[in-house]
Amino acid sequence: MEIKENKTVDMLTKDTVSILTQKFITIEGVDQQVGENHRQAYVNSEKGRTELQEKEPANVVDSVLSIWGDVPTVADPETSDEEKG
Amino acid sequence: MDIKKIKIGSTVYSIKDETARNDIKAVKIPAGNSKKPVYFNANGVPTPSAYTLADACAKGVATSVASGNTNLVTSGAVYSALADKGSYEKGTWPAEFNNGGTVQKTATGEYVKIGDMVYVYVSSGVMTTALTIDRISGLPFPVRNTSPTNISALFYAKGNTNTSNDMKLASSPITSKTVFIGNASYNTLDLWGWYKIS
Repeated sequence: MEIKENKTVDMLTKDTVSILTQKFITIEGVDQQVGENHRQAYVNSEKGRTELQEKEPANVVDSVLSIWGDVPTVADPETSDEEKG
Repeated sequence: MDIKKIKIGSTVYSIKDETARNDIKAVKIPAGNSKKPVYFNANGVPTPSAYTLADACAKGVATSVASGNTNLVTSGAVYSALADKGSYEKGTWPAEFNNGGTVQKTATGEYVKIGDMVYVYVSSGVMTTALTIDRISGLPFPVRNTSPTNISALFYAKGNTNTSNDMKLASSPITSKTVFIGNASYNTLDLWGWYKIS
């Protein structure tokens, strides 16, 4: 039985996006979800754009970058500012 | 006046309207009479044809639900109310325990989203060798930009470290998917907290 993987580009803004991954099997013509929802957010920073391209399929990357454009809108935090704990 | 006939066991009864007596009664019908199923109209009232009980129930939920349609309501006032008040989702997220920008360990976190609030939890599990961790990335939703206050998230990290076992208040920059916990060496590290999105 074939398992289909669906990707949903969710909450896409010029700065961020959340990609929802779900898996389905078809039983008597009706798609039934198997397993849990799986999500990962990406930020429109240099590192975030790289992660998006590494982890998501080309059609998802293309749709996100069509909104984000060619230039990052969020700066990756500096290490010295990050350690706030 | 007969309203409908029903069957209980092998016996068929006719339901009679006794409005004048403020009552109804069932009358046994002799065997051999024709028997028909009970149908209901769109308002759930018994009627000679047209709808089954399931149809009447569906019509009672939303008039946009067609007979035999098993899909959820996807438009209209009911959908709008659910989307606004009852937005709920649970699932997993790919947590990465980092030091600097280097992934030291991965684990699967859990999240529950209610409306625009997200609750997250993840545990590194036991690490055989203590690892230096300063951040956990991979949140399922980006943290909301709440400029100028920049307060939209609250995380606590609890670790079994070589030097301490303190609970830490962790933080996440706005428009981020990363939680910063401060540099320390851990054998295990749990993170839990909540934040606002959108």
